[in-house]
Amino acid sequence: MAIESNLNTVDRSLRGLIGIGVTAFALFNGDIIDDVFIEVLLGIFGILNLISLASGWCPVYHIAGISTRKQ
Amino acid sequence: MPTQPINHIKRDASVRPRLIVACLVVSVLISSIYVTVSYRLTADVSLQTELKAMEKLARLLSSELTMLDYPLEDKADSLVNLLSDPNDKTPRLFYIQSSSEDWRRAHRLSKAEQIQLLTSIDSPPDDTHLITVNDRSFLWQKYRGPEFTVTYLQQTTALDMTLSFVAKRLLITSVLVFWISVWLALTLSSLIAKRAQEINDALAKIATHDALTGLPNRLYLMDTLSNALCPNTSAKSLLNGSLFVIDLDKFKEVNDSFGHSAGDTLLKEVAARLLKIVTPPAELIRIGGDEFIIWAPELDIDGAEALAQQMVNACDTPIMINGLAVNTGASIGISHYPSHANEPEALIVCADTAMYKAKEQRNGWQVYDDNKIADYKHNLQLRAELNDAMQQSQIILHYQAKVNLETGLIVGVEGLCRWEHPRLGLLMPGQFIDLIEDSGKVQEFGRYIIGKVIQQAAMWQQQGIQVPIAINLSPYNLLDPGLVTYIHNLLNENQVSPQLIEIELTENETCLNIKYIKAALEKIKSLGIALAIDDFGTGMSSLAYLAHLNVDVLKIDRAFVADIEDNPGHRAIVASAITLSQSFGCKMVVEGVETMSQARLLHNMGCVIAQGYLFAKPLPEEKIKAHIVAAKTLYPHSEGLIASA
Repeated sequence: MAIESNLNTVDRSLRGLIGIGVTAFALFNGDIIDDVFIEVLLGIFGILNLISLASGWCPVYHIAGISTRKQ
Repeated sequence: MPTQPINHIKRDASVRPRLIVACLVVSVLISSIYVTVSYRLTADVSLQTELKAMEKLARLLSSELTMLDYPLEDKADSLVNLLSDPNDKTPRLFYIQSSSEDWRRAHRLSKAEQIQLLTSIDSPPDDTHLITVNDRSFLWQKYRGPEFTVTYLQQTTALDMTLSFVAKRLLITSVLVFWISVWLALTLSSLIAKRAQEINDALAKIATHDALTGLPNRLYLMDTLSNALCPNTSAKSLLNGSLFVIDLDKFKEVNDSFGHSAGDTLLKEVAARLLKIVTPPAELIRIGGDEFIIWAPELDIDGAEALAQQMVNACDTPIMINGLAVNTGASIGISHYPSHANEPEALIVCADTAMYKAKEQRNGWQVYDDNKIADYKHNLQLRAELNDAMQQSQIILHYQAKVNLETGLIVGVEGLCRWEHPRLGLLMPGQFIDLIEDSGKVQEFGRYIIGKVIQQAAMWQQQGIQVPIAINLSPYNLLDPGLVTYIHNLLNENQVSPQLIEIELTENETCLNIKYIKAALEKIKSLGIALAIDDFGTGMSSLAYLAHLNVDVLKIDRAFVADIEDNPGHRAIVASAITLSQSFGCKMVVEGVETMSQARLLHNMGCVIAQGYLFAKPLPEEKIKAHIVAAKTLYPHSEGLIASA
């Protein structure tokens, strides 16, 4: 499927903030979580959001046929 | 309202948000249940572990006390110091009892609290080993050894630990689960909504389109017209438009003769031809049977007339069905928005009315016109009343005499229909015969008239009157397969001699299967009934037709008689017809004789039998009977004779 930007600026920025926050928390939380499994999950969540930040494209939006860019 | 189903199908935009909300609610619900159960499970496990540890400590304390041989206070002090962590700040209480003494040590608990706690465990509310004092939860264990009973209480830390250990993990997991749920909800709702929309579109297509031709149907038309004529405020308003109702003239005949599949082929071909002519934004719609409608927005009456002519031409081109070229023909009614009507239904009714008018006049197409349509509405009402007319015998026969020019006596009568209409008085055949032909009641009407004539002939026969009665039948009547049997049975039932009945075959422009007519006529002749060709010299009465049908009587059309004195051509035709009738060996009757000089001239030319106002107008049964019974001479060869009325 062709990658075509489907996120508007607000959506993209929000995902960027969430991505940076969550990835940082997953990596540098110290003893707060104490569970590698949850840290990995958080890492995936953060990285996916960072991908959206970089490409302006959300795969779920793409499958669902949604685009916030048009609005 | 017919538009409701379409709106209902289209009104499905809320499916997607509803699905999303439903997915989210379910995911939140599942997360909550999962978090609650996990938390309770962990808390329970922690409590049980803590209780077990406390029980072991109490048991150990009891057994150690039994083994040492010091005073209780010394033993207990050193053992409790050894077994409990002095740095542990958890409030706790040790209470040791023997048969003779007891010992108690508390940590971070007041005396009152100690007494309260010990009292509580003497009569515990349940067997959970958990009691609450001053909003603080305590776990307790009591071990009864052989010498000492050790009671150990401790404020529980399990729940706090569970919270600090588990809650944050559960919280993070819940956030992730919720996040996955949102994505799942979006994807699922999108896929389901997409599929639902596809099904809706397919249903809308089925509901609004005709399966045979693939054209839109009546539902679609009403929807389109409603939107076009009653637009929302936001829509662009329509200035004018034309609506065509198209009805195929010969569809029923094709269906009856060649079967329904041939009819379907015809419809498809006509639809294809019309589609070539109709260009967007005009739309072709099939509303059922052989009726099509075209809605052409922004088309004025002049444009509509040009389009109608094109469509009539297209339908007039023969279509090949089962190897035969069938010319279906079409009648088109046109109504114009807004000059004729503003409402969809009214616009269709106007075009429909104009279409029937066009069909009646056989002129291809007709634009709705209030004045012209008034006549048509009158006819439409008459047509509705025809059934009652036959059931209540409102249609009667008047009789016009056929006179022998040599004797002046009545040698036969022609029965002519009259409708004794309860509201409009006596109606002439011209006012209702066409309605009968158009309404498909020709055969029923033919039988009705034959029945009346045979009854009349039977009555006259009983009264000794032996005058043949002629009736007019259309070739369509002869397509009635049971007609001959019907006549035969009636003649037998009424004991009427067939010589008293004569059938005059009226002509029209329809070219029916001459073989079938011939066969039917021969059967009628074989009953002994005489056959006549009416209006000879006009229409289809070619010489070949005459030779084929083997008739007994020729009736010369009144058109040749009216100006016979001044028109040598007509005189020659009448003379030829007389010769022809003699050659065929049949009788000849001249119609429409109105003056004495015409009668005299025809008599001199060799005509024997004549009919016309000169002798008698069509008369009711009792009056003509009076003439017959009186054997009155209606043509005394004298000037100044006044024709009886």
